[in-house]
Amino acid sequence: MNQLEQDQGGWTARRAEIDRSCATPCLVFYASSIFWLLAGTFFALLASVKLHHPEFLADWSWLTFGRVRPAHLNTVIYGWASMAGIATLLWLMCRLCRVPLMYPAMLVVAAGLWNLGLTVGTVGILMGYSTGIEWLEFPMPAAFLLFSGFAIVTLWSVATFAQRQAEHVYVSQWYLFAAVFWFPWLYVTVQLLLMLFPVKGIPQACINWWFAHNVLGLWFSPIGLAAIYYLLPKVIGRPIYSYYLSILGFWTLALFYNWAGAHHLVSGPVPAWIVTASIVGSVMMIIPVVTVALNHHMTLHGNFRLLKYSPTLRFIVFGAMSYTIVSLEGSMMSFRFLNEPFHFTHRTIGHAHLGMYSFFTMTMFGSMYYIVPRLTGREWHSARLIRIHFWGVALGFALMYLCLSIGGVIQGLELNQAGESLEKLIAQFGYLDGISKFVEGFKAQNGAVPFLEIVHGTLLWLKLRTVSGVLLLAGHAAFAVLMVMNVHAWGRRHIGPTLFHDEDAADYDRALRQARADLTPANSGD
Amino acid sequence: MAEADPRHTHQLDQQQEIDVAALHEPILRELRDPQDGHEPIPMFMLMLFAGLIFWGGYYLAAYSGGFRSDVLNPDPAAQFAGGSAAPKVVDPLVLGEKLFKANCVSCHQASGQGVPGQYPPLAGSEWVLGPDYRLKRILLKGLEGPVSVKGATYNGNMPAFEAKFNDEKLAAVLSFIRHGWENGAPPVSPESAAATRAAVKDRGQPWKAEELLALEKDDLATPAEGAPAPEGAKTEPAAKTEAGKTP
Repeated sequence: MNQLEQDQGGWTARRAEIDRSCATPCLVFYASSIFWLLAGTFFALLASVKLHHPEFLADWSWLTFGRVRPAHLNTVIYGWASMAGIATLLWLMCRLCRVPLMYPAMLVVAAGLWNLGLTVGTVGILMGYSTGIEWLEFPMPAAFLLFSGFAIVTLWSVATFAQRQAEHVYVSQWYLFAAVFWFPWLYVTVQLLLMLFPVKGIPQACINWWFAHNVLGLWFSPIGLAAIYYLLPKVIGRPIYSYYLSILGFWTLALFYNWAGAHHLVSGPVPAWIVTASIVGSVMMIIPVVTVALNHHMTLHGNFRLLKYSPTLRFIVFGAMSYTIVSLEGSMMSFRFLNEPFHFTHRTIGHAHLGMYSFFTMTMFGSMYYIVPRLTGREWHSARLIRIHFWGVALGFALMYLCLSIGGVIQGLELNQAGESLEKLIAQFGYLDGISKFVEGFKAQNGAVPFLEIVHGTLLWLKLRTVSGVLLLAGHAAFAVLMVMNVHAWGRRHIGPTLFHDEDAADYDRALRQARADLTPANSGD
Repeated sequence: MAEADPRHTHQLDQQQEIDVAALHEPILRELRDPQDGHEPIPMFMLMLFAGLIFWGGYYLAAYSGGFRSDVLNPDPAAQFAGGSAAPKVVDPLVLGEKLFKANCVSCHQASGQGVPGQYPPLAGSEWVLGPDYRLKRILLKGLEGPVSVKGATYNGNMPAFEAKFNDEKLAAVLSFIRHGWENGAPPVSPESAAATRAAVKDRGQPWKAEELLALEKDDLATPAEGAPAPEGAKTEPAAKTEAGKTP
């Protein structure tokens, strides 16, 4: 293992210095993000239970569905995902620029502002002061706090980039540098046009969905992709497959994503060209997605057995594969003929979680498994808790996605003139015949199913979704425990990297060596 | 500093050094930083992307409604067809029932029996079953004062529907009450409703029962110019007398 020392002499020492400078702010951001993840999961469970037991906690206005649902959305978006994303962004930025974080205390201030904004905003929503605009429910004071926190992050990222000592700007940095500009651009524009000087009528909806969709594609996706682009080659020690694919993927994302938001307004009273342009933009997203997928796939190609051992790798590869699936699904869902029957159903919720959870959240978990031990200088304490975390969230997510997709498709067909509800047809004709008669009924547009029957048909899937929420909560709790143990150095010190199974350490070493066997000193960086 | 010393690699196994080494083991065992390979972009992918871009251009041109802000329907066929699509054929009895339920049931009741002493029945009523020219006039202008129906006398106010119902609706609701409750009288056509409407258009007040009883035929004193000959009307178009004129 002599590869470490030969590049620029003191790079290992520099790495330790960089990690030390990042330790406090990044850990504050990570710890806060996990707190908001737990809070967000709690709100999500409440909202999920209320969908099939509406009387549950219905007497307390603070916890009515109309408040816990936006509280869930905003705590996981701005609390969990953004804070975990910012910590990952800062660490990656410093590592890739090869300079320590300057004045790290200011970023602790940024984390404080961000947390304060989240607290004000969440309590505001629970008290009934939601703005009522989706993805922007936090009342105005919270938005100011979030923005001031983020201004510090942007300034620090720009300053770090300006001082960079690496001669080559790696693909992760393109995404990160773009993201620190894209997010404030989106947030300021939408606050100006919807809150401070609100536009009237149809443009409101257009701006709302331009923002909400772009937050996914121009804030979370770049950070997630930057983390995957860094960690995938880093963990397996192989170069990324193709620089040209990286370029193509980055610039086509920048070119096309911004158009996609208006596909949420299909069939709405919006000029046809706006919706059509957004459908074209959504379909064009196939270009960056297939490009990035190929680049990642070919980088890992032949070394998939490493997924058995490394938690970082398994989480980020789970995330990378989900990115491909959710993006292609999104391109398809933008078409009018699919959007019209399925948009206002539970299927859309499933799609949203495929992006925000299965892609972004899993990628952030993977990043934290890699980054946090370098910040604290301690390995993860328990392979068993990592296993609980992975299987809790992986199975929980799979169950949630299946329930919402199946339940949502049935709901969509029934809302769109299926004639008879699937429940009734199955009771009458059995499963196979019932389903085929149901599909025939939809094709023939046999007429509307009574609304209450449709609602009743979704109950089974919604109850199973609550079960999936409990699995997710168990996974998150295991991860929170791991994090607390790591930060406080509780429990027995773990020697060597913590894998899914402690006894696999030797196999992992061997597999890693094999993965790098064909690399020559010239292309291995040794 | 000791922990930054590159000689402390993770293969070091001296027991006494473990604490120091373990402190930064994650950093020491790291593999090299990511680098770029330079494989070319596969040709099939570039072809696929070129195809996608062509498709995007076509789709944008075909479904954008000329990029006008007032065109909401992306389907060019629907957009430029204007109103030439065949009008939907509506069963007059279905339409009539709907109109009856919305406008008439509160007095005449769903059973068509009316309310004894207050609102006259329609079921089996000689006014409904008889010639339709009285019925059309009642619906157009209303009826006030005493009226005898099925041997009972009523004294109320039937409102005018001239402004509310067009000819098609007028014919539909009349056809419905003439058909329903086993009345079984022939329907009223929109054309005949139009002719009557034109004939009585100058009358200002509601009818009295005796005026209508005095009317022997559908007297179309002032037929609309070029209106088609009313088929349902039991009268010859030539009969343009002064009989129907409002006193």
